[in-house]
Amino acid sequence: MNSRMVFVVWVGICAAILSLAGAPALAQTADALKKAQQAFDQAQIDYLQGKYDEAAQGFQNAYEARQFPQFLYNVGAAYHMKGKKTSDPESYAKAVEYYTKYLVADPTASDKPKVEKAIGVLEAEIKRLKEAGAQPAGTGDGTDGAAAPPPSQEVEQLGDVKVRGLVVIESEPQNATIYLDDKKNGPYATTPWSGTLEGEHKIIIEKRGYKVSESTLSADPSKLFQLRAVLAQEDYLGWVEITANIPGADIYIDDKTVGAVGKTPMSQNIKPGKHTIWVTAEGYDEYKEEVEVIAGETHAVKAKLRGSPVGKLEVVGLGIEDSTIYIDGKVACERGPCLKAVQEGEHTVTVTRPGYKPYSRRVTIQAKTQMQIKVGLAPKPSRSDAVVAYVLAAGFGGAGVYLGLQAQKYRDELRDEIAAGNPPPDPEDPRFTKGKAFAIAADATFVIAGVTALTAIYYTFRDKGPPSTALIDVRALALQPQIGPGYAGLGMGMSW
Amino acid sequence: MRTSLLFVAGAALLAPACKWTEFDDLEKETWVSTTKKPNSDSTDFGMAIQRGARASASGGKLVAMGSAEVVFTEITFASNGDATTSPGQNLSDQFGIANLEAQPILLADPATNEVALVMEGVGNQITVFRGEGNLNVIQIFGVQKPDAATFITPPPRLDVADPQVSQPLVAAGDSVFGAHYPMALNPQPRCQLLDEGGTPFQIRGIGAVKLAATDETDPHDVVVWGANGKLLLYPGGVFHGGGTRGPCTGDAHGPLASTTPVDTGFQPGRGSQIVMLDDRYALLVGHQDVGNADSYIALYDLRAMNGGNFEPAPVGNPVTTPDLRTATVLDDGSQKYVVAGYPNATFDGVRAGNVLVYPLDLTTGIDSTPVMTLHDAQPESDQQFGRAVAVTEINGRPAIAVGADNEVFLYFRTALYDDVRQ
Repeated sequence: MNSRMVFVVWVGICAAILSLAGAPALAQTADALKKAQQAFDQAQIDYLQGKYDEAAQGFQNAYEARQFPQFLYNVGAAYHMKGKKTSDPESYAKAVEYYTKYLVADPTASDKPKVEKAIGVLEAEIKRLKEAGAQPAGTGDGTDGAAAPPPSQEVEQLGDVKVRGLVVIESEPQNATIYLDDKKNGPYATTPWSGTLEGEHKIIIEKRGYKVSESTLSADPSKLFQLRAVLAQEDYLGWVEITANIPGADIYIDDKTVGAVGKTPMSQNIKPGKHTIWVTAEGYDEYKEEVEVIAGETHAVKAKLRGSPVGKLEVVGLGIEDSTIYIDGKVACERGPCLKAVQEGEHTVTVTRPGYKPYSRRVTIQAKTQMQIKVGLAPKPSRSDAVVAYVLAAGFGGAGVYLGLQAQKYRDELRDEIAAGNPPPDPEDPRFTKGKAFAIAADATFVIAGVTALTAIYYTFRDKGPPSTALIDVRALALQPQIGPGYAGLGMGMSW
Repeated sequence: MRTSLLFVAGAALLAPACKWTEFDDLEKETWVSTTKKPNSDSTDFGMAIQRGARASASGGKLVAMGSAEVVFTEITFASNGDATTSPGQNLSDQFGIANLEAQPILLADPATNEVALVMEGVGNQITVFRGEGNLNVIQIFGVQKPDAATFITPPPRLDVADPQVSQPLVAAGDSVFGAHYPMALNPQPRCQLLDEGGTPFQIRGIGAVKLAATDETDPHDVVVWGANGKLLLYPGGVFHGGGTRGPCTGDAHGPLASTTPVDTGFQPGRGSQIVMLDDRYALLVGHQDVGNADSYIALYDLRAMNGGNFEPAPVGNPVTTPDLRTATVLDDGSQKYVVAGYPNATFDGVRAGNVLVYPLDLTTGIDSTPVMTLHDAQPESDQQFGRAVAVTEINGRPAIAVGADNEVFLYFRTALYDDVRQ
């Protein structure tokens, strides 16, 4: 046996030991969560019954089972309420202690300012009570009949404290990606995760090599809710990780007509075989890549979106909600107001509204700027003058036709009589003069009709009245990629 | 694009425009020539027209007379119908004669190119202007106003052996006067005509006819239409120069013994005529004096016999369309027509006059229904269209000439015959 074979054997043994050790760990975690759940539920009952000491103990027990910071907050809340009910400086002091522990355990807590404010109020209350020599009014269960000094106005303003519920999302195995409601929203977190969620949500948990888990969660904000997903292995699937230099870019897989399936970055299981992946972002050229997915393997798609730098074009104005906005001849917004990211360079902006003169202008969009076009569309003028001209042209035309027919009548009459010779008209026959006069008049009338018709056409197409106008304002615009738990995209900041 | 659209629209509008030049072309094809008075001397051009230049080969020639200043004008037509007028011979200036009568006697010699104007002369005389191109004058003294005239072949002169040539015979009052003596006599030899009862009568029309004579050199007999309505035949030989100038001088003669007078039933007024046809038929063209519109056109066969005598017989019925002024005969080679002028007729609501063309058949007479009415295309009141009519020959075909106030119309083509212009 050479050294290489010895190494392989050792790796195999270690893997076996690790796999045997992983199962009890998971089981212990589940037990701890169960224990924390039981303690939490009892503590909440005690809390609602005013047994603040028992409630505080229960929340402490829950924390000992699972170290979720919310439990520490609830311990503080129980002491807080006890202090408020009994004006007990010691209880307030414990409340301050646990509030502080909560902030230490979760320094990024969203309610950190509020908790800090509560700490400040309680510390002042402690000081006030100590200076006043106050003694606790009772045991804290509310049964003691001794009168307690009323809380300070600041404490009253904090109101009654409610214990917080908790949503715990875990998976087996852990480190699965959590999507909230829709994968299009992008990854939300990874398991294990705990926090507060309000309302009903669709929870999607996905991990490479495992089947996707989907479930609906409707959390009570005052209770501990745990979602534990045991992911089944899906060996025949492949795994794709799609990233792009532009966060929040839309991802399409195989069929663009069904819409974007998610936003960058995104990773998910995918069936083996050939797949086409598009990554698009407004203002950038589309990125397309074909991937041959093999079951059990990870495929990374790193989209490099390229494109001209973009600026923003905003079209506003009176009556813009009835207007259609075109950029470079294509409908940008069927109704205004319209805000679109457009590539840097020259563009033709056209605004149309029924009954109004269109506004069209060629503008130059600069990167990182927002051009606002505030249009004032002028009403289309009446074409009554053209109508009058058409009527006159028709009248002259009709007169010309009439005169022409008269001339033809004389001509035919004379021709016939000359041919018949019964008797032939003489050269001084007035019909020669009349016919000639009619013919000349007909021609003249036709000319007048023609000129009038041309005038009418001119009146039809001429631009009458004031044109539609617009005020153009350009503002500097800072675009920067942003990503967060619930979103990803381009952030904007403006200055002008 | 828009410019093209405007151009197309303009062209479309102008497409139905009329060619006024068509009327100029049509005017040239009217087949009617109108000749205005050629100068300012004559103030009443077209009082009388007659065919001139009988021997014309291609075009034709008309003789037209003006009235107030009696001007003799020749209108010559080229083969294509173009007309030229002669400068005119002012007879008033040359011979000091007065104005023409309303219906002057203008004769065309059927045997030559000569014409003769018979009119009242200065003083007590009748002046006969005769010739071709330039007229010479013959004076008949002792009478003033002519009533009728005709060219005849006279009997041989007794005083000189001149060849017989066609000569005007003039009737005035109840007598006829020979005009074939170049030297005028005063008084002129005359022959008073008596009717079958030996009574003189007012002569209204005379014509020359050869009843029994067959030789061309034989003198004509004379048919006379009296104001009494009688049609009588007289021997031409009585007009020969007998005695000093001929036996007729101062004599009176009755009709030919072998003839029987006929009462036509129409008493012709002054200016009535006899138009001779084929040296046998007499077309009586009768009207009344001013104030009476009765008119009469009738065809008589002068060689009709009755009981061994010549007795003029009417052929068909007379045409009595009123206001007749004058008439002539048109013969296109296959059909004859009476061309009658009614200068006072109303046409198209205007008293402008017209010319009616009646079919004429030598066996059945005159068809009273006109086949054609000639009129001015622009009738003017008192235009007197048809106060003179003549038939001339253009390019071997007949053409009708119509006199009107200061204007002479020539119809090169009518419904009766094809064009005669080339």
